[in-house]
Amino acid sequence: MIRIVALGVLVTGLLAYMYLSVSRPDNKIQVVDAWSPAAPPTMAMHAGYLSLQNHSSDSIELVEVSSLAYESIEIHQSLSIDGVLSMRMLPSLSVEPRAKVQFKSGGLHLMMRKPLAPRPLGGSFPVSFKFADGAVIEFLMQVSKTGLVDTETSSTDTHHHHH
Amino acid sequence: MRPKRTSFLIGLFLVAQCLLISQAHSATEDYVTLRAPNEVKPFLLSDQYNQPFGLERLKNHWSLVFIGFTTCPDVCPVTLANLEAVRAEMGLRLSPGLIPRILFLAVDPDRDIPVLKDYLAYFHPEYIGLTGEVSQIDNLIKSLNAFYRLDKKTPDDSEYDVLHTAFVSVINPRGEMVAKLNPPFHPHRTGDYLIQLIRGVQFDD
Repeated sequence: MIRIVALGVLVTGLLAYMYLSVSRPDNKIQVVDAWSPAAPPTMAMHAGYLSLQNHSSDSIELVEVSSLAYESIEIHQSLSIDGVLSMRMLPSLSVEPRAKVQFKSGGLHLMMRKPLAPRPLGGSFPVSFKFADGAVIEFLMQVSKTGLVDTETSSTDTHHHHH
Repeated sequence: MRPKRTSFLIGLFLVAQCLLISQAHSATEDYVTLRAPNEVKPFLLSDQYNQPFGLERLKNHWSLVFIGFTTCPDVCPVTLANLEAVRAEMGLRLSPGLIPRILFLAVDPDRDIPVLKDYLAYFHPEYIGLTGEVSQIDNLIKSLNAFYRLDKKTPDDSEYDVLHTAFVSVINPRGEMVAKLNPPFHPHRTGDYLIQLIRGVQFDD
């Protein structure tokens, strides 16, 4: 019995790891904690958040984001200039060697337009990143409730609770 | 040689101190209490149930007014969630009648009006959404010393961004704006600030 439970825990852990963290086959690039806030069905634009880690000693450039679940996906950045919020689209995103880039509310985010299927809470959909060197990674993005979210400008003692 | 180096180090230390002080100063500006209350001028908008909402309905409650639009995917949903956390934080320490309501001033009527009710129901049943004619939206925006602009690239652009001020206006039960909250609306600190503000204001009527 204990063995079965242990096996269950192991498999669940392994699945959760595969689910939340996807690496390129050469392990140079890793996407962790990809999630999108659950949103009212009336909304046709959704944000996507994640953390993108470049483990290699070369800089990498993300040039294309796509998903079967959306008509189009762009890399966007929310800006606050003199207290006025706006957004701008980035044609691509470079990540320095051994650097980590955080996509989070109030800063960098994926702007996903026109969902092609319903997005149930807790469900997930595949997203694909294409890099300038031709490499592609696919990962799952989970639809989670917007909890208390650590925004780009907030101090370190808030954390998002989306699990 | 040595005194020179010492004075260089002292100089460096002083510069570092100044930097630290200026940082600490900007941190305190998350919350700005206005020197004099700013009277909200009459306006006439509708709530998400299509009921009239003017200056009279603004009175007799504390309110937090957040400017946004329903197609905003990144900042608006998170701010609405954070403001609810502020209310929850205050709920433990203040009587229910003094907890501010949350008003979402939606500034993009063409895209907001058809969906505002469902949009707000999704976040919190008690949120009040305000929308209406552009001239009336502008009236309230002006009273709040706020700003927004629909950033249409072409006249028939349907996926435009909306630029808007990030601050939340605090309105007292007399319908006067008394403070501004700036992001990130940290629940505990924002709750602390609002409780002090609300307890410190006494009304005769």
